[in-house]
Amino acid sequence: MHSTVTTEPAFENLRMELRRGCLVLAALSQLRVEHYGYTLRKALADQGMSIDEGTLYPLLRRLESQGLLLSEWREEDKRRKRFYRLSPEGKQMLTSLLGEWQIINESLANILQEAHS
Amino acid sequence: MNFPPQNTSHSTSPGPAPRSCDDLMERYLHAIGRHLPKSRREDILAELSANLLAEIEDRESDLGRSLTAAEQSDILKAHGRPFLVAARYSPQQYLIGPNAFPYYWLVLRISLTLSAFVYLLGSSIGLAVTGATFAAYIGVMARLPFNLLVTAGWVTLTFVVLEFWATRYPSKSAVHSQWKPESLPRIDPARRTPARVTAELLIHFGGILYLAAIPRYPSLLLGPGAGYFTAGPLRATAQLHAFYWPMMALLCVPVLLKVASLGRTLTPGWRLALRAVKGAVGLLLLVLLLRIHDYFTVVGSLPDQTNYRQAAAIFNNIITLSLRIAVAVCVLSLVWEIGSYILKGRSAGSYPLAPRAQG
Repeated sequence: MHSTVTTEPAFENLRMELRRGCLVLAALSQLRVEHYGYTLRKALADQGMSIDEGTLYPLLRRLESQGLLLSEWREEDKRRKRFYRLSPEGKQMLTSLLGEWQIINESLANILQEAHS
Repeated sequence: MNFPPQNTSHSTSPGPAPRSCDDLMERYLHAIGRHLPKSRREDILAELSANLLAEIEDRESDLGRSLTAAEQSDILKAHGRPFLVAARYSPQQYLIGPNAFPYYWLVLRISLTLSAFVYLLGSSIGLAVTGATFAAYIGVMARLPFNLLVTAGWVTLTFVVLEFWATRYPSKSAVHSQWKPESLPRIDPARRTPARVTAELLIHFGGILYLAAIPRYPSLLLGPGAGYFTAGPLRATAQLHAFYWPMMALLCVPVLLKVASLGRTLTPGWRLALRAVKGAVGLLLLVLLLRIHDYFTVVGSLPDQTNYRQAAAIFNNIITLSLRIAVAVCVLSLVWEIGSYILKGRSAGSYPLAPRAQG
């Protein structure tokens, strides 16, 4: 039974839910260095955090409208692209979120350790 | 429709450089643009276009050749349906969000119940006053679903507007955080479920409808004997006719009380008071009926009316006896209710709580 559980829609929904909260953190973290949409997606995928483009590009817009990102149209390789980077508020937010992430990570590690022992 | 700028001649607008074999992508971006807000369309499409072209070029660089039409199609397909892609750029993705939905569902249920009740009661009174036909009653019932649909539509529209407002001004609409545990209703083990209250209302209403229809359709009360009754000289007396509308009005009182108490947790005292009012209304009706004495009389100028007069007297005696028994039962029931309340006191049930740890 355990081998089939990962193919069930319930698992897929829970997996998506688990990942959803991490996407913002991953994107903000990666945007400490300037990226445009496609290179950001590639950079995240290269580090094992692949994000669907239909999710990532609107997310960048949303984070920008919240004041966490700054964007700029600039020409690169003879093509104009929209580059994103963290705003000062975004940097503060990333620090706060990383602190929260650290707490969650440690708590979960303790909980999982207790469950195994 | 403004397309994303595809060449650098648009000095004021951002956009990627031209590229051959862009037909499929242009169609794709055009399809997305149809669903984007006009103010942001050009900007979003330009960015999407740049990202897609970068992805295509990246793939071509890996393969060392140009992508085929099928390979380009796969990239666009993976990006998603145009309508859904555009929808992801909207600030609001739902009409009624998870925070508002429980309120919406509660208001919808109450509104539908009240709407059905008001519509049926109002229509029935109107039909009874105008002396409508049985087909008119059926017509009223047939229009009920449409009436409920309109109510549901208005409630839904109201909540959609509220959700829209709440999304724009979240700080002004934090209703769900404005509550106190102390404002929760006391535990009431005798509280009726909404389904039961609705069923009771419908039964009450059905009873009123039935009584309202009897003067026009005596067969509802007398069955096949109604034909014999209406063909003969026996008729209801003027006193009984005069009593009819006050009786109907009094019958509406318990229903109105029930509607007024919908969604409220009544204290045992209030519940007893409501029952007492209902009992008193019933008792009043019976006593007033009892005072009439003559319910049926003989009319017309048939040569021999002795048998009919005897029949009327028997009817009147049976009705009087029945009413006396009903009055006795009603009084006993009322006394029983009040006695039970006094004996049981105001003890309210409670949910079992986890025992506190000792020491």
